[in-house]
Amino acid sequence: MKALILNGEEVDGFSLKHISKSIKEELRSCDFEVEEILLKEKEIADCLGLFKCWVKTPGICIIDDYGREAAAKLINSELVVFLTPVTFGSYSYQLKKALDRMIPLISPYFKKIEGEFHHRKRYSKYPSILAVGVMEKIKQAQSQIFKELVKRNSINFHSAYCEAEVFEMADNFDSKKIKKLVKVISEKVGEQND
Amino acid sequence: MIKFKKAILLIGSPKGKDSFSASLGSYLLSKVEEYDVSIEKVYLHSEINTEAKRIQFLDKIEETDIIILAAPLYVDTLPAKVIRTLSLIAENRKNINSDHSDLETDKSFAVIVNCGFPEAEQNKTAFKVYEQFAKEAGFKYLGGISIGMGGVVSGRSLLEMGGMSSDLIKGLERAADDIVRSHRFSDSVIEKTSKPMISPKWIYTLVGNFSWRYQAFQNRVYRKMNDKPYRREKFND
Repeated sequence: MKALILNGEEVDGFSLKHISKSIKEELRSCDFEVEEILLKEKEIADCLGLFKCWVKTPGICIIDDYGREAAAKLINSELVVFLTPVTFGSYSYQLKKALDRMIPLISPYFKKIEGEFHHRKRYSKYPSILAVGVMEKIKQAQSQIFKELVKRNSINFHSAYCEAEVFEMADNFDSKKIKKLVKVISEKVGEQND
Repeated sequence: MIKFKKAILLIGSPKGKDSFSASLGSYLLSKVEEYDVSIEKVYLHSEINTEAKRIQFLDKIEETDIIILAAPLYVDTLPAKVIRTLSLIAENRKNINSDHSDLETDKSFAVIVNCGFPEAEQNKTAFKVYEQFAKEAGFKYLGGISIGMGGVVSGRSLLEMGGMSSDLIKGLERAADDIVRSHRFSDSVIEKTSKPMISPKWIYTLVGNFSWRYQAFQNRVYRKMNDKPYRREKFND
């Protein structure tokens, strides 16, 4: 099984390296082949919002940069990890820039899912989502919004499972809780792929 | 008593002047202007790209009484560029007000979010994010106008859309009044602006699906519409 970590730490923000290390260790112990993309080091332009990836070059973004490669890696993973500073309850600019470029992975056509319209699948399988948000100090309202957002994303990206948690940035960061979270979703993804 | 003097419209769509965000925001701004408020527009995707422009932009925000942001919904939340912009504003406000324990709420912030789904309710998570931003930046949050069915507009001004946009127009006019008075959006604003432009919803999705096919046909890729270019053997058939 493949897991892709999208590390959305900001250019001038705090490092998420130690959290990423804990996630990688646990994923590997759960038999995942792990790849991490430190998004701030990659050239990924902002989405142009033109939908050309649906009606001109179906399935491929018209911007020829690392955004294409990130999309290809994501769709061929069983698990994607969003690792990000929580920004007003949402994702960091670095992570969101990459996620906005994932639109070619779904179909333009509408489909009703649980009473709401969404876009149909383009591929047969989509990765499950583990979202790890990090804040300097936990704010409950933003933590709640973050979890709600991840749930919404899992519907629109047709993910079988999703888990989301927000952690406080601390020098003595306790990796046990995060490893437990990784284990929970790894087991679910593993069962799905058996 | 109306005390505001200056309003700025931030357009968060990369499509700039051709976007639904620009149509909505510009109409609302024109109504705000009728209350003798001076107005200005900023296209976020092209006007904060350099350090010099960013400094100029942040200065403008500090000189403004009313900030209106019109943006599309991208992947259930704010477009990346909008997150970047709001982070810059919040950071700058904190730096300016570092001597005070709390930021002053002398500025108002209102949002218009549009999505391509038929249900305007799909914007709800984004509004929560915008409200958190307002709190962090020390702005008075006036509320959000939520609009679905963005696909029907495609760059037209609201007045060109005829009866389809009549409720929306009335709602925006009332919203302008709330904004200049620094009142939270009234129930009538929310009710008028959130009415579906096409009813029932399935007509919108039917026309939408046809529109995607037609555009693909015109681009000679109709048969490729369901292609899976990143499919790997034994995984994603």
